Amino acid sequence: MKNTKIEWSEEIRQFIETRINSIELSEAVDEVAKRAEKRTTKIDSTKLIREDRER
Amino acid sequence: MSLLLDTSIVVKLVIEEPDSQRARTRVKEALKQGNTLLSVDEALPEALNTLWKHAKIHRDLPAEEAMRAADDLLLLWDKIMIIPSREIAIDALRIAIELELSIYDSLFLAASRKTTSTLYTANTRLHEASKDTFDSELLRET
Repeated sequence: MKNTKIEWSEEIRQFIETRINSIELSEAVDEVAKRAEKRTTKIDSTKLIREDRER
Repeated sequence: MSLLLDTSIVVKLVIEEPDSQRARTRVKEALKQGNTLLSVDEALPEALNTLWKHAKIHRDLPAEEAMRAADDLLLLWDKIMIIPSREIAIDALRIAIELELSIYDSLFLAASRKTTSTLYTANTRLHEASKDTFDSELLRET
């Protein structure tokens, strides 16, 4: 069989990479959410970050 | 479109606190719509410091769970696009002076402008100070 070289355009390559990365990231958010169930905190982190930024 | 995550959102993804689930839902929705997730390099030390505060100052998070949260933080961190502070430093200082915000807040606004992304934050002060001139989305309004 003749060996045909397929040339992917840069746009298609980037699109596929971005979609794969999005799917992996979405799955990672779910994985982390399950583990985070053991990490319930009483104080909202936003308040702690605000303290640091205004110091 | 891109969604730029403030530290307040990044932390909510790795621990369970008010509006964590809402933040996750919004982030996943953005990804599903094909949006890119971004943050500023400053968010990593800020998030780690927040975990440290939970563990050592407020003691509402066991140290071993804070360590595991840091592992998860890095897992997510490696998958999002990070804007170096160096690239937005001058604009950030200008914004800080004009809007009377800290440079830490302004780095996120400068990054939002540079990348034409929506800043997603749980930080009401940051959102209120910037919503008229920047594209900003407050967690509790979503």
